[in-house]
Amino acid sequence: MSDPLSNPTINTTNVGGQTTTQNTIGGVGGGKSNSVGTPYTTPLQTSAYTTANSLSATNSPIPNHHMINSNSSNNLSGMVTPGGAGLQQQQSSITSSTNNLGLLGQQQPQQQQQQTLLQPFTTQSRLISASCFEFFYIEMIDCIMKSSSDKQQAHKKLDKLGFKVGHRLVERLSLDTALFPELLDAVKFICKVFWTTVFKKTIDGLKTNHKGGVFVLTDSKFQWLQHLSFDSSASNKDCSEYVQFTAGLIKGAMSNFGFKCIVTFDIQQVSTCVFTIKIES
Amino acid sequence: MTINSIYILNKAGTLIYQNDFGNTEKLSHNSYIRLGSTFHSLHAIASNLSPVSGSSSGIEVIETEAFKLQCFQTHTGIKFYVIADPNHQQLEELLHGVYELYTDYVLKNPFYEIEMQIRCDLFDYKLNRLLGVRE
Repeated sequence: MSDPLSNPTINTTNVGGQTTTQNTIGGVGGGKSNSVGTPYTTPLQTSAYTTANSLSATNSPIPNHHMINSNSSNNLSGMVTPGGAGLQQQQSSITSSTNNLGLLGQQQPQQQQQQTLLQPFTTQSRLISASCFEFFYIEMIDCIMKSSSDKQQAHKKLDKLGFKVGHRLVERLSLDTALFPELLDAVKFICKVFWTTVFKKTIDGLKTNHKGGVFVLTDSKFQWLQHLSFDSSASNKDCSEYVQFTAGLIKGAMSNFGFKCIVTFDIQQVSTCVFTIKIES
Repeated sequence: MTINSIYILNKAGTLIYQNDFGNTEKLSHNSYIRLGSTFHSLHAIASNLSPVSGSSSGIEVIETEAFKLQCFQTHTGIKFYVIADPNHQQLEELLHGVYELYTDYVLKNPFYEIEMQIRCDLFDYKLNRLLGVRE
């Protein structure tokens, strides 16, 4: 999965000036025409690239040199800018390469034009990426619900799936972080860096009991329930399957830090979620 | 400056959402379906009758002394149209706002079946807020 992402970088640095310029302008041109049209009309190529990027970010347990840079930018984005900082930095990287090639004799006006055209593409990619994931998430849960004999089995599958993703994601996110001396520091990492990367915001509330073995995390605007609503006449208003995956994420992340735990959740008002982490010892 | 009603038709011309606002007289459910189907047919006929060469976008505005009808058709064929006061401005922007709410709160709602009638509390709530600001 990493190879397709590595190739563009190699091409940028190795191919001659003229060819690189044309490639860059072509790509940016696509983005430009996209922004001129209806925002919701998406070129397939852009979607494919963004989706591949997202999948790579989630599924790569062993980062190569390119991914190490992404790790840094993601950690920074966790602390400073929610959301697209990582992608922005990648775009900046492309711009820097173009600037370097400019020193080899390219004309100044072309350089300026390229930099200007990069902006809308970046914004568009971010929107597309978020929407793609939301639709994928809906279909994933629908598929698991239908392929399970009962609700309990579906929840177990979702929990296991979330565990795997959380376990691997936290490996990548914590690369540039100092070791956690205490359990509370690991939980704080989940509340800030991890939550910002996955849900674009920090946890709204963190409570702990006196002994320190139980933590209650409150997210008052849970990202993945923001667009969910029921038919007015629906008798069954249970949407817990759309949160079970997240409980698995937390469980997997904490497990990778060395803390075995049980994670339960409670959906209170519309889109308010409370996650309870109990450490096993 | 009032909005009387909003209709959403799928690409087959089926009415998938309809809502009245203000002091509009309520019609029967079948009447709303009939109105939606009629407009879909008129829209298609107008597109074919267009004197402009190439593809025509179909009806965009119908203005009368009693009301103004503004229609917005997406690239995918979904039609949003609103019936309002003759003097109402910015109906086009309003329809784009409705389209954004549709993509965010209907299509991203996991309990909504594609091409079926829209029954989402959150969409209704957001739509009322959107219209409240305009009015």
